[in-house]
This record gives sequence, structure tokens and C-alpha cells, in this order.
Amino acid sequence: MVRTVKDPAERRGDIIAAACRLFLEKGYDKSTMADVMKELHIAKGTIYHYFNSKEELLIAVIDHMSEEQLAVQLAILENSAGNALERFEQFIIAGSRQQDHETVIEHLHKPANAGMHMLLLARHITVQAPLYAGLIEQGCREDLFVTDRPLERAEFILAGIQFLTDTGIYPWKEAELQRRIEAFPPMVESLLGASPSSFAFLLKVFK
Amino acid sequence: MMQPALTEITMMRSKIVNTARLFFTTKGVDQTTLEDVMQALHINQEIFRKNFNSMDELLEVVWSER
Repeated sequence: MVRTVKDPAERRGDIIAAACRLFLEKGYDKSTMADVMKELHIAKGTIYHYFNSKEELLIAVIDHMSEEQLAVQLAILENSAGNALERFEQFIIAGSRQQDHETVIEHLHKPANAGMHMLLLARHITVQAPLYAGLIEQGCREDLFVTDRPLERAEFILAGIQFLTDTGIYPWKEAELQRRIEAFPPMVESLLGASPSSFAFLLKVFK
Repeated sequence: MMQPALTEITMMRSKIVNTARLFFTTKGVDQTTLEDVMQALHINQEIFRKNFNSMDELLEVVWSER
């Protein structure tokens, strides 16, 4: 095997990118160190040197995926304008159109990827909640919302909606899912102290 | 020939895995030999082979099991 000298950060990034593809295609459970090796033409010891275990590599892959997602979300947020409710609507609707990760989600719903799926959902919530909290704070300043804990409310809402609408976790029938979705706007409004129907636009996202 | 009890096999397997992990983290993967693992556990090749086909297989298991 040819030894190429590479910058450690670059090498680390290569391993993460290769593992990301591999985990999504083959499933986390079925992917081996040998697979990563083959993909990158590097020695096993090299992988071990960067990631002491497969789980450590998984965490790095998850971090990488949520960082990418965060960059997209931040750009959308910066492009939104108006009062907090208007920005919320733009942010959520534009965000929901980012469906190029559809295939990723499909893969995550395979049983072999269950662990990865959970980790990614949890990471998404903690990474994205501050963005939502910022909008909630703006809404409080504009007297649109009344809450003392923007961040925690954002996390609570995101966790509830993400988990409950994830049919990979809850195998709802169509009507059952619809019932949950219809309940979201009034629940969000009461959690944020917003006026009735102000979050009705959420229903558009789930169409 | 009498088969060893299943629990004995799994115990030996996890002993090998734990010992190898220790070597890999202290000595490095490339520097660790099958001899190191066998000597540390006072076992012979036959016992090792009952659990793993090769050092490569052992490395794979150490890395993916946690």
C-alpha cells in the first residue's frame, strides 16, 4: 500500500466523508473498517489512529451532517425578513423545501440505521433550537409572544414535532398522523403565548 | 471431544477483545502482534483461532464493538 502523507485534518475529513456515504448506503451496522479502508486506500491503523471505535466515527459523521444542515438553515434565516411571525413562516417553509436529504432520511429508516437516526434527530434539535430561540426572542420584543424561556420552549417544540411526525419512529396511519399535525399549531401558540391561529401556516408545511 | 461451555467461549472471546484493545491503544495497531495477545493471555493459536480467523478480524471486532 502506498503511503501518502496527508494533513491530519484533511485525512480526518476524508474518513468522515467516506464513512458518511458508506453508512448511508450500507447501513451503520453492516459497515466495517475494511469498507472504509477500501474506499480510501488507507491502512487499518490509520483509521484506528483517528477514530478509536466505530461509534466515535459515527458521532463524527453525525456532527458533520448536522453542521452542514445548520449552515443551510442559517442562510435561510438570514434571508428572512419582517416580524417574528413572518420570519418564522419564511424560515420553516423554506427549510421544509430543503428535501435533498430525503434519500438520507429513507436510509435512516432502515433498522440497521436506527441508532444513527436517533443520534441525528437529537443532534438536530440541540443544534437548531438556538435559531428558533432567536426568533422567539424577537417575537417577545415585538409583543407577539410571551415566554421566559425561549431556548427550552424551542427545544420542546422541535423535539415534539420531530419525533411525533417521524413515521420511522411512530408508524402512524395517515389519519392518525393528520390528527397530530392538526394539533401542532394551537399547541405551539400556547407554548409561546402567541395569538390563536398565528401558527396556522405550520399546516402548509405538512401538506 | 468435549465442547467447552458456551459461556467459556464468550468469556475467552471478550478477554481477547479487551486485551487487544489495550494493546492497540497503548502500542498502536501496526505494532501489535498476535504473539502479544496470546502471551498476555497465556493462550495458544488453537484457542485464538476458535474465536477469530485473523488479527484483521480481531481488529474489526475491537473497533466496532463497544
